[in-house]
Amino acid sequence: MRWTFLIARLGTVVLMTGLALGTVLLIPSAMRGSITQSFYYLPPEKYEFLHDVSTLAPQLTPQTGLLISVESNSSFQIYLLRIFQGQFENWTTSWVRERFPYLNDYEVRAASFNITVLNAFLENHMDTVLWKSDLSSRVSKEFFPATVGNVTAILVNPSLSWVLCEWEIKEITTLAPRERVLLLTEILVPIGFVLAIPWLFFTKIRKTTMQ
Amino acid sequence: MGKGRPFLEVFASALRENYRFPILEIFAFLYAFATFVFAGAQTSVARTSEIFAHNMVNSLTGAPLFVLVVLILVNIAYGLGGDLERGVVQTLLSYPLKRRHILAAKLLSALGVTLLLFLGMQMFALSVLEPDTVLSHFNAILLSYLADLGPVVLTAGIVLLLALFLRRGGLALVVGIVTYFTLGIIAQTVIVLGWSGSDLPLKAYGVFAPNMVLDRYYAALASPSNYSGIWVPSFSEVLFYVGAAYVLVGLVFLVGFIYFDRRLGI
Repeated sequence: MRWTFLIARLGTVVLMTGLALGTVLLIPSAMRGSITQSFYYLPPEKYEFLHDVSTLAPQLTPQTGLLISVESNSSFQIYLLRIFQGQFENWTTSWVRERFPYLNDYEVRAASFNITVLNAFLENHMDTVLWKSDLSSRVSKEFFPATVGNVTAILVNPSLSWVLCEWEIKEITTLAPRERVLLLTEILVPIGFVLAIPWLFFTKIRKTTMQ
Repeated sequence: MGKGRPFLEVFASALRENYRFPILEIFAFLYAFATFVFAGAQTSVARTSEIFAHNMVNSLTGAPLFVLVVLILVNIAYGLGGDLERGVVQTLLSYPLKRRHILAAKLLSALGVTLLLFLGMQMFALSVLEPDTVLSHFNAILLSYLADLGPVVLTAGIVLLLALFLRRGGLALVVGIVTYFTLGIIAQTVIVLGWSGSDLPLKAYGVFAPNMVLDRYYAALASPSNYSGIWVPSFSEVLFYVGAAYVLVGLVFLVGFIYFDRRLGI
């Protein structure tokens, strides 16, 4: 009975920890800093930087993230990459220069926005992909990285037609990284219940017997 | 019947007395929630080094640490002092357990569970918030907690002695709070003296409050120019102070155990 009691108290503590995390989840993320919004008319099979995120939020953290909202007249994709935008641009322009040495600087810059260059980068740097949206004409995503770092946001038009995209990015802050906290809440609450049930059961039986 | 069962019996009874349902659960909730709130308030600090890890621990051990102190002192003063005052200890002494094991069970509930709850919740929340920092600077975090908890455990040891000597829970609690408050005042005075060039009080008091020494070590690491010309401990000195503080704590508890085992006239 003592073990049941001790395990049950451990269970109720675990349960309350889960509920505390659940409460943290209830507190909505707040906007911090400025909103950046604009629109792009994206050519076929091209990509564009959604925004120089580094100017908005130099470093994203598990508690400082982005709210990205994009609407378009056709399907598009968004990539969030763990890399400084300047580094990404250096890589893509070097890649184009190596393969097309006869292009001038302007042409290299223009060619580096081809979707093939992006795909080449992704093949070589799969580990930099933090999040990738499905093909859609409307995306709204709250993103908090698991670790601290620079983030580059890219809007991709994989189709063969022009796409008009209206986008908005806000820097947001939260008490805790939501996805991680949600997962832990979902794990802790049932474990807490399971550990506490035998004690509650015995207590109920004892009360019934005493009556 | 082995020794484990009576020990468990005394421990469970002490736990029930110290944390009537749902007090432990409420504190678990508050500690977990508070850690996220206090940690979230300082997201803009640079996160590159162990200085950040130390600052993070410092920011988390403000109000929650004060609550921890109150909880420990109340548990020891009223849990043990109250038992001595009311004569409940005589019932506990009828268990087939050595006296020191009875005291150990009572302290495990009053001090151990409270510390475990505090540290467990803080480390858990830190791991959720800053997994990279926790992984890469685990030693710095552990050292910061050890240093911060030094004065707390020392005060707990003093209250234990007072509760045993005075056999009055309320009086032991009051003296304990006064002691902790006084330790805080002395710490600030010593820091001020340290800035004026007199580092001997700081060095001497560091044994009682190693967190002061650790704070100075990291503060000097963050901005060396501010600390030129005054005493800055090396890392090995910090370890010495933390170790010395816990040796002192160990001695205080040892005196408590010996007194309870041999001298307590019950």
